[in-house]
Amino acid sequence: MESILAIMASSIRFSIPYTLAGLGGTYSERSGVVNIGLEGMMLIGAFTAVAVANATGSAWLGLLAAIIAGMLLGVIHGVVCVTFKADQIVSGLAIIIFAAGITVFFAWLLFNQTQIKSEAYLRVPLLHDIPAFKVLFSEIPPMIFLTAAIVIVSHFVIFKTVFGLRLRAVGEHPQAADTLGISVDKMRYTGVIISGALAGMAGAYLSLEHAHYFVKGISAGRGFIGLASMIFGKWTPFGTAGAGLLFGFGEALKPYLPKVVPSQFIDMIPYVLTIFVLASAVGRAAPPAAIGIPYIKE
Amino acid sequence: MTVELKLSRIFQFKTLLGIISPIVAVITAFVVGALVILVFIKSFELTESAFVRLAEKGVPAAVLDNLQVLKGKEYPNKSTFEKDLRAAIGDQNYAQYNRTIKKEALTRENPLTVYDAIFTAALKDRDGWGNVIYRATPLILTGLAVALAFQCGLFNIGGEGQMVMGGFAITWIGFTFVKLPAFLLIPMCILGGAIVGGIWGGIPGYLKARRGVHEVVTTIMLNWIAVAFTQYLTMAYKPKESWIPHTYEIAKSAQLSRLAHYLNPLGIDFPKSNLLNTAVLLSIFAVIFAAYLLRRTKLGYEIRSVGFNPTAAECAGINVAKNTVLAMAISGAMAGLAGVNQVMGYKHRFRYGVFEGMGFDGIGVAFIGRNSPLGVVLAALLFGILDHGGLAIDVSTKVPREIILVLKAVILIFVVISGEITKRVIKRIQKRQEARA
Repeated sequence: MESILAIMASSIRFSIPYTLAGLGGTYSERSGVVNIGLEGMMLIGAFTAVAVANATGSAWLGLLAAIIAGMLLGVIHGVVCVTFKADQIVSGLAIIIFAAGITVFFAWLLFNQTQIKSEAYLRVPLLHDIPAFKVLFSEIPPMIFLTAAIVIVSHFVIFKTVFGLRLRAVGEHPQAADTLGISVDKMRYTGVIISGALAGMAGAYLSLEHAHYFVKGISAGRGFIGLASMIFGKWTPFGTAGAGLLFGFGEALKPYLPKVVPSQFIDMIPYVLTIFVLASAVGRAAPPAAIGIPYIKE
Repeated sequence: MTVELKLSRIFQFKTLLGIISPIVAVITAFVVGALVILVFIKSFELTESAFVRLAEKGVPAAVLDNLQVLKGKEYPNKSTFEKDLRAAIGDQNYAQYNRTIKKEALTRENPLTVYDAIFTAALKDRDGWGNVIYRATPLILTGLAVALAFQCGLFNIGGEGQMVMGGFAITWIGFTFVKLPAFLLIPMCILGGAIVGGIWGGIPGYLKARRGVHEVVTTIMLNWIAVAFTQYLTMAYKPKESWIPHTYEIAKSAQLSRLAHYLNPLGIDFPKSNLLNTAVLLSIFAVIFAAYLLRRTKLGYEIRSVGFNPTAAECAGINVAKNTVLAMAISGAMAGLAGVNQVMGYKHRFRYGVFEGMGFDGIGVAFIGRNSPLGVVLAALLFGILDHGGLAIDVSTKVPREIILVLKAVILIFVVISGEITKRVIKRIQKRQEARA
């Protein structure tokens, strides 16, 4: 029983970066821009979070800085893909390579090493002093509540607001949206920048909360699992969170598995499932129609 | 002016722009890299001349005497310099003079010396360019893989996965059939790598052709599946006594000899330690094969037609599905052969670290080479120079060698942007000429 609870708790902890990155992907892809750069945005977020948190002593400032860093990469992706209408995949790839380089570059410059311990903790200022909450937060990181809130808010933003309608319109049929006076470029920029913010946040969670340190290449493919969560969740916030939980469950199960099941096969599950839902005849996932296609006004 | 003449002019203009735009992109990227170095690489050091300048600026002799402790010490970090400075001259003097002293002590790295270090290490002697070619050898293959698929309108970003799957197949054949002589085992290894890489590339091709799944997503997912799968296989075939996660060593008869082995008897002086090996011949052959396939065969023509306009190709009776699968399979086979250099020529064992990132670098190589076989070779050599020369800057300059990754990323960004601008310029010119006609 206790181990079941432990598995559940660690599933949720593992799922946070997947869910946040996946949500980021959802905003971007709903607006029609593929963002495989999530991995890189996450990595930059992880580094910035630790660097700023150590410098200021506040983990929350670190989180904020990570969000801003992610957004900046989002702006770069936007400039390349939306303004210059260049290839979105290559731009995303460039962002991944850039992040892998620049984080280690600054790790050497600022800390003279590639593994940096995080000295600050994410704590909710007043609540954390109440004994009951103290126990709760030591077991459950506060970012879990933040992530849950973001998932719910995202659902309403994407499906129940004018902004969400426009975002989806731009991703499904940009010509029609343009005819109705919606600025395709502006909506796509917004989508990509939100996506960067969420991926940066996912990175901050990894370094500040999950590992308590930054190390070269800490994102280790989690951005791509985020992408897989988004596809498996059919480009919806709740679906993405569900898929994130499922993949997190797989990760949490690893230490409890009998030796005959190699852990590498658990690692493959998200990717295999993603290919499966894309290719299967029943309950097939279909991406937004205008995805990956730059919109050029005639 | 006749129509034909006009068309040939457009064509020439197009080729010219096609050659110029990646060069401009690369140069721009180097400028950006130089700015990064100028802005961020700084250190603090009080040299003899700094003392003279400080005295001229009116810093009292007593303060300068106290400063002597710091003389000649190099501080890469601003805050440690400030700390020692404060300790040396006291709080009051620090408040008054710290700005002046810091300004005089600040030294920046000259980006040109950094670039000079890269290119000198890469090109100054036979050992240098031998290593550059060695590093370019697998990149030519992964680059060709991307370029070939692109000619069919497919974006194969699964080079990484196809490469490790092929690489593992090569290793497995190499350490399993140890009794076979070299003239049988080497072709078997090469064939095995190509087939397994081809299958791994063919899967996304099939899913695209039959189920309409975009190849970008499937190739990304297959990359990670391949990495996890080969990691499992590596552990399964790991020698028991080894602490390093790598497989058994391949048979001596499957190992390729280094080029020095052939060059030295001919009287050409070439260092024995140089990693350049006969796998480079395979890459050269692959380039010729790709160029021939695309330009001189029916299959190449069909592949390019599908890439140019799938609907028109379908109408002309070309089987789009078949060509999609074939293009992806050939592309995967190319990537799968990267292991010939990495395993048979260099490591003689399988380990993911030997391959890591080369599949992704192949995408950069293909785009810089504008998806033409010859362009791929040139771009692979550029990446080879950066990779090999990058090792030198860690030693001779204060710049971390990760600047190479930053450079590669910036090159990639500028190449896609300049490619897009070129396309628009050509379109505009064509429109104008049409309007005039």
